[in-house]
Amino acid sequence: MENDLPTRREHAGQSQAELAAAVGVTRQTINAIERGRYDPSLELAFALADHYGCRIEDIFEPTD
Amino acid sequence: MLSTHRSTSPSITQRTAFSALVALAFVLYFGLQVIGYPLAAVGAFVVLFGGAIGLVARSSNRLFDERDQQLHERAAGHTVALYGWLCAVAFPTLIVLETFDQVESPGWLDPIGAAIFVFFITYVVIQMGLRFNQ
Repeated sequence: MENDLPTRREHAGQSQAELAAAVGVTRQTINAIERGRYDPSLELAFALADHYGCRIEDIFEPTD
Repeated sequence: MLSTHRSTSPSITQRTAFSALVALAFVLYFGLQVIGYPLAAVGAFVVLFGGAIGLVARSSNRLFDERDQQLHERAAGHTVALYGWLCAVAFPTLIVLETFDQVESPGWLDPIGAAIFVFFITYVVIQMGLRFNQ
């Protein structure tokens, strides 16, 4: 899956560690998601969307 | 002015400490047994592994999360599959070769074979339990 998490996070002025703490995961997991190396669980995707006040599909986009 | 300083996340340090404690626990456990100190081996293992567990329990930061859980599950799955295929090839081959007097099975393989059998029975029972609850 592709995502625009780095853009949203940087726009919010957050570090990976701060976002990780806000959604209850480790910084390494945020880093892996941003690099497209890990697809989050539905629960975490909802938490990220809730954190940025948007829908999951606004952040994540399936790749072909 | 941009700072070039990179702060180390507390969770990174604690994850590293956890990994180091677990690695040291296993190294000392086997090392002390090999050089003839079995009780010291057990003692060192209990202290170090207990310390690692204590570190996770007392940490205010989240040390492990769903990604670690997924990695653990994938590694466990690959391990079961690897040993499954090895056993599916190795043991029947050994039995056939032994039947035709090509090789003589070493005695130490018997407990390993029994342990692997129990291991897979456990796996099947746990999987059936998980299916039942899903």
